[in-house]
Amino acid sequence: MRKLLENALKVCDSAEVYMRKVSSTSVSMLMGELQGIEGEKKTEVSLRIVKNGKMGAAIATSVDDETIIERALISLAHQGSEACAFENTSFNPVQSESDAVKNLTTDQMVENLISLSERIVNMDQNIKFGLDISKNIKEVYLINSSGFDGNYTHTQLDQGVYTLNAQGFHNVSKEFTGTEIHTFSVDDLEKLIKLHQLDEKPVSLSNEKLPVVFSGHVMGAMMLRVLGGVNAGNVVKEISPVTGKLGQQIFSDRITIRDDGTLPFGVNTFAFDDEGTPSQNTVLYKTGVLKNYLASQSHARKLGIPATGNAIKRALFSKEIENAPSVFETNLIVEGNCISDETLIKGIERGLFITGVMGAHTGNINQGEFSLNISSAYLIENGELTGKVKGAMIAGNIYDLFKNVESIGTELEPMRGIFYHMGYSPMVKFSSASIVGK
Amino acid sequence: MDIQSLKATLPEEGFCDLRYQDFNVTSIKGTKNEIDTVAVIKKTGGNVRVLTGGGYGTFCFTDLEDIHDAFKEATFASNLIKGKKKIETIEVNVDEVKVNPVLDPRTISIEDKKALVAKYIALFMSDSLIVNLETEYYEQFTDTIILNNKGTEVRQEELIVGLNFRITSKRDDLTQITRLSLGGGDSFDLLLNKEDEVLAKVKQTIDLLDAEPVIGGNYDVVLDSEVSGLFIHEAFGHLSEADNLIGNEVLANTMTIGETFAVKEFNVIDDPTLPGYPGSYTYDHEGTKAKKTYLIKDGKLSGRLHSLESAAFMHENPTGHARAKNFGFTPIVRMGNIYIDKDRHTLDEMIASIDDGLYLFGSAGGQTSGDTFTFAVQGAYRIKHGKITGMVRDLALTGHLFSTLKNIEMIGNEIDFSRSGGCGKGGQILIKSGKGSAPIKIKNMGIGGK
Repeated sequence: MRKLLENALKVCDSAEVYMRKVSSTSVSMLMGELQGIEGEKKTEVSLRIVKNGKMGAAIATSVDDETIIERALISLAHQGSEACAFENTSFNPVQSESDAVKNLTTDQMVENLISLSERIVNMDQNIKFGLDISKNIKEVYLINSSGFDGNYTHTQLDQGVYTLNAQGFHNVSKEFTGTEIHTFSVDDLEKLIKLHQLDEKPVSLSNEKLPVVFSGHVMGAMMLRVLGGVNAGNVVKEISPVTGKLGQQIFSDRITIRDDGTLPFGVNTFAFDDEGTPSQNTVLYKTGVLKNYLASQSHARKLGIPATGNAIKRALFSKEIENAPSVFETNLIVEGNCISDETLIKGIERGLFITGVMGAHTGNINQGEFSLNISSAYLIENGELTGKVKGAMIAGNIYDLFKNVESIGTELEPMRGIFYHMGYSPMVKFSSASIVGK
Repeated sequence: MDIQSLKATLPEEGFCDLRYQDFNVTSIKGTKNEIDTVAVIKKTGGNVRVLTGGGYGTFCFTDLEDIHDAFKEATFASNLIKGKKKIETIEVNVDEVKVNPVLDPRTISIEDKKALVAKYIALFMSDSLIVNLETEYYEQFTDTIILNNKGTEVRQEELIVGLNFRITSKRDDLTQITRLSLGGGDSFDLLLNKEDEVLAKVKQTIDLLDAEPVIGGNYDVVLDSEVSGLFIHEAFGHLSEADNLIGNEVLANTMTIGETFAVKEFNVIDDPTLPGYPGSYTYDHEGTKAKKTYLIKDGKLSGRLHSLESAAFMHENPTGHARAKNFGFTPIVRMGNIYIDKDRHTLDEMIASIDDGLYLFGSAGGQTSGDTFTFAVQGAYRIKHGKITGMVRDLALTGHLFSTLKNIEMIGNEIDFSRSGGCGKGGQILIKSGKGSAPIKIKNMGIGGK
């Protein structure tokens, strides 16, 4: 890496070399039978250079591939993006790795699935289900010509269980993700089986306004829209609906949303982002008041605000090395005046508990708009889940919906955008939303 | 890359294969009037699969020195899976496929590519009501060696070049977003002289600001070719991917060949061998030759898309539809160019048959889960008493696959293919995925507004 940096500096004014080594294993099981085991070991390198105030970038799959310098020069010659200086800020260690995950062998992952499978069968012999477990170890190294020299290791273990309905289609799922190993509790599995059985009680809704509860998992679809607003890149481009609204009450005072890259053992916890900015805990909305934007180095400079450690090499649907560092979430955390999940559901006379949506990536995300198919939801009547709702839609705008936050549950679930985990949220109850039924 | 030395690494036991790939992308991305990034991406790596036990063990690597360890790891993994799975119908191919575009984008200088992109950007941004534009030029060239220990030895070049625009108009607090894709084949000339298409899209994006928001409910609808293509991709295409059926006999029963799914005029085909579209290719990433496959013929389920493994599971023939985003991923069953075949109706006849409904245009992304699907469209025209009236905006559609297919009443007489690729499955976004259709009329379709 050092040699590549030195060679790059012969043709430019400043440079940064980022390298990541990824190894992963994933195992899947369906109906008690192991389906396949996948593994990978990848090394990927990214070079960013600055010359005469312009910036260029290139990637390679080996530090010895010196064509990366020529390709970075091509990029520099043609792209219009302004150069930003490479920073050298000291960072603090974070809890982003676990020896238990590192030492977890493929045999143990297989045993883990077999044992979970047996537990589920013992609880319900008729249930059809699948299991997945996936382990990922990522080592990141970053050096730049300003003197930054850092590295960290991130371990991640994803574990999931899903059930299939009578036609063989996906029905109910539960997942855990984080830096550490999680064990499914009896309570987790009992809840899953209870929801699974409600598939046999289908319910149709007409067009109506109802109180709705979004599961923590489904809050991910809403968080894509929250991010579109607080992304400083969109503020710079003047396409964020909350441009110039720092300090204003935007959402209900019952909700607080923060982005915490330092969260111990979080799914997206790291010591520094892909520009070398230390990770931090950034409050986005405190009791509904807009407090901060999430900014990369260049946005921070343009807006005169601090960089927040959210410049990440990814895009909405990809985490490839070639993705330029862009503003994305670390661990988004939704919190507020919490009441237990049970009490929250019990307090609803008639409402909808939404656990799955489709179409999160469509519509005008940055403006906060959503129009979602409700792929999985349960009708709540007199505080009880009484049937599974099929074929309904929910549409609106988060800047209206989030004014109606009524209460927030306690049990954190991993949030998902489309492909990737976004952090953690408990269930959230909104006092009223329009549902398009049959 | 030397095929013979790669071949020498293949273990003899069981079934195993190796994909080794040079992956090259040139991309130019812009926002509003600016070109933000220009990247020339080059990656190399391999992916091996071994079947000595009850399921595949697979391993991906970037350092060629790791190839023996990759086979070792994959063999160890496969043996952890109890049983002895066999792939019976392996089609052995030995071939070399080179791309031969009319105008090879790799021969065009970056300056000229940038100039073309800049010209279109300026056209889009010429109207002050267009407030945001996201532009992406992409050119992906791969050189892939596919080998297995049964004798397959395929070296295949693939090339796709295109331009995607996402256009936002705004007046007061109302914004509208549309999309335009150009190219999607292997030739640069498909991107040239598209000024009229760009200006028409600018006009449509601005006209949508005067459109009324749709009122959610059930409507009789006509889908233009782009929306019909998206519909068949989301609603039915994914369900035709037979890797869903592996180990899931209940679903295999739901998808019994010969089952009536739609009216007898309804035919759905997936054909990667059609030249010049996003999902066109010769061999899949298991080295099986791509085959034109009827999925629905005369309204009845007649086939499905297969990998070697899914074909073996279903005791059917491989169709050449196992593909991966790049060497970093395992091949999974993907659509090539899926389309609804033409029938006899003109667009005017379909519109004239509707008393109160919508004519939907322009796709804006969708998703599917099992037998339910959803997708968004860029806009629609109201149909009143058989005639097109004003525009409506903010539409998303949702439905249940089997009932929606049965509600298809008329099929148009002309097929058009989308110029945009792109489909996500299993964490892989595959740009080389195509879709097309004749326009179709569906009765009683669920439309969600805001």
